[in-house]
Amino acid sequence: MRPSLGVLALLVLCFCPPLGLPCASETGILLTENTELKVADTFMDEREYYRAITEYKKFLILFPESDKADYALFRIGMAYYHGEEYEASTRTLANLREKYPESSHAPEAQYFEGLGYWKLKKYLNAKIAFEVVAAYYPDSNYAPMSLVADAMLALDQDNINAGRQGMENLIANYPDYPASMRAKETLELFDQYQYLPKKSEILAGIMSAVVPGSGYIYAEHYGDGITAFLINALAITGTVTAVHSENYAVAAIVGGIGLPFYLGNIYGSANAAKKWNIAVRNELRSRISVTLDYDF
Amino acid sequence: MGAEASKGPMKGPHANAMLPSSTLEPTISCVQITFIESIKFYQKWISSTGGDRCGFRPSCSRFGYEAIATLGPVVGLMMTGDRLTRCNIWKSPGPDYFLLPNGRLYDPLSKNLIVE
Repeated sequence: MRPSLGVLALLVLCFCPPLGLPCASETGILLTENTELKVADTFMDEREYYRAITEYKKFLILFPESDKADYALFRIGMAYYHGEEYEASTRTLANLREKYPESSHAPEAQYFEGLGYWKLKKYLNAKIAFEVVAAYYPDSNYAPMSLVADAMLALDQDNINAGRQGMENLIANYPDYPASMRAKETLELFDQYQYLPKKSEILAGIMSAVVPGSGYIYAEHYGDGITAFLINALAITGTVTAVHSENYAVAAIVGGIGLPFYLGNIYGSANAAKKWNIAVRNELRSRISVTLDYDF
Repeated sequence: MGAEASKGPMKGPHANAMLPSSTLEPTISCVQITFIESIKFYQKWISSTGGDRCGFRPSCSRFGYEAIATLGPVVGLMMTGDRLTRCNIWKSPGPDYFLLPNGRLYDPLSKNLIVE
């Protein structure tokens, strides 16, 4: 069988593409410092923190001697911070300060390191970080912000006097800073903090142990108080009645079911008092936060 | 198995994705197992017949399951008793309970710990 002319032509086209098809010209880019940073920054802007960190790390591997290495390291710390990986963030930002003490990002790094420690509830480390920013970089924008953060941190630790002192330092050292104007208004709120009404958690627990539900009522959780009283009254009455009629098995079952409710009523009352205190504190704290226009 | 992407702010693989499964499981006692299995029995055979009625999220049975599994039978039962007491007709959104888009009130275990 002889192949036809058409089949032959097809075979020639398939096996000799340069003859029959136009050549695809290869396009590419040269990987420069700026290109790599642009990729990383784009991921960062898109809140793809994990990918951004990968690109910044790639930058540090490819261009270790670059004058933008401090920037890349700083952005890694910030990506960890925004990604809520605070341990890694504080570690990276501390590393930046050690490797590049003269970096222009050092004050911001130190400030965010403090915020990271705050999130981790390492209050002493956070306080030190804020104090260092205020002391060593007084001309930086982050110095007054650190004073505000330090004051709010003191407030969260119930150290009202230190918080008030921080606000007074801010007003004295940075009178033209926008938050300083607002800080004057917060001084009165700081004073109110000392006289916040409080509910005793121990008293709430004791009250509920004596009269079930009364601790909830004391903590202003009225519905829970009425429910706790009714459930416990039912369980206690049932148990006592069963004991009186010598139905000890029934008494054990009813008492066994009622016991977690009784203990839970004591626990819940103490917890309700705690929640009440937190709600009152948070309300005032948010008023200070809104007045200062500082949200943390 | 490829690393599963996290839905958290980091948008990367889970930090514990590579951990062996045995390290992720808490050790629990026989008493805890008894209560946990009772809750599982309730969830599978009793609760499922009447539909989803609890106004809280996590539901009371799930809350009890988590409390007993993580905090032990004594504290767990106490917290479950408290939760069942609070799951009454007067509960409403406010500083204590955050209203979820599905109309339920958010009340996780972590918000009910006296000692953190």
